[in-house]
Amino acid sequence: MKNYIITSNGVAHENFDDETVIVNMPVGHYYSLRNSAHEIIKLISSGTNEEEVSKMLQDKYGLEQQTSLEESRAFLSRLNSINLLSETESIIQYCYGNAEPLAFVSPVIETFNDMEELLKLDPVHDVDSMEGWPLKK
Amino acid sequence: MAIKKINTPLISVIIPVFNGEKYLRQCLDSVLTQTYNNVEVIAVNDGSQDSSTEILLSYRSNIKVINKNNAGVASARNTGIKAANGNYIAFLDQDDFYNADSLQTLLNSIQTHRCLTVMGLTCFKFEEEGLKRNWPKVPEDGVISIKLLSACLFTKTIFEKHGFLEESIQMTDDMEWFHRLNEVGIEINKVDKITLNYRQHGSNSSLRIMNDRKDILASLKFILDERRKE
Repeated sequence: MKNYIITSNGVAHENFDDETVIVNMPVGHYYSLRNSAHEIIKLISSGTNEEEVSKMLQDKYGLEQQTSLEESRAFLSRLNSINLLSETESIIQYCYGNAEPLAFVSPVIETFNDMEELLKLDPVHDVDSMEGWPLKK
Repeated sequence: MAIKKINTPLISVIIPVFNGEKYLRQCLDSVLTQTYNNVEVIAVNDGSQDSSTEILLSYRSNIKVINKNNAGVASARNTGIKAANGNYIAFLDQDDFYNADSLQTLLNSIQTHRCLTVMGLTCFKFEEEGLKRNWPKVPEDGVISIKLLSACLFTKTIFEKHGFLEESIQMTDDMEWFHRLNEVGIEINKVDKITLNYRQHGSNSSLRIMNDRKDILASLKFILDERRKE
């Protein structure tokens, strides 16, 4: 089974309280992930795989095992298809909570391209990963 | 005898200053030596702790200086807009500089097109050769069209109508402002001439890099939240 993390290749993200925002500089797109997508991407931020995501969906949303695995696979595949993920060796195991299950809506990634001109010019994506971003005034 | 009406409106150039001693004189001189001379320079000193304050004092006969406590670049720009007497507003960062005819070029265009904002070309000025490789989209001659506040001239009314710069966003207030203009359908007329020299300097410290990343993402979050309120 493959383990995934959010790629650092031209991609930056921030987990806010209610939403994760990701920016993909090479293509000039940015993405919003809320609700179950926000919960999934928080796991991916630290390294995870479809099984761990599935566990979280069962725990937080009360999904059946098969359904949660299908949702998990489909969403990771979607993120992979737009080059937001990298493979990683280490993952963080999901810790179960005690909260009442939330209503589940399939994870959605909203894509925006209205800042394309500005974001594509940003130098971050072509900089050596060891040296990082250049100074931006 | 017919009298030809000469239209020379006042342009207010707002320069936010925070510890900018290294390049501040070149910045100020580039505004004060414009071929277009109906210009009001407003330097907003945002709590500088270096010799910027003394430099600004030495120019006080030619510029308006506003001293304030440090609150960030957007706050400094907004302070300048509110103090501006000009029909037109331009911004210039403390480490950048104009060409001699930058304001005349922008003014000609905004008057010809009767629009709310115009933007000239930007010429990147790399202080160190190594910085060039960080900007692969910038051509060898450094000249590119990029949405920067300092490359633009705005009518003052645009701020009265569409609001000031967003002060809760640090450093990327321009990104949100251009997005706001775009959302309300305001087009930026482009001028095919260099009007801004945009200096790139300094080190790529990892702390600075992390802050830049956070700034961009915070701006995008702000834009998303605002869009959902509509």
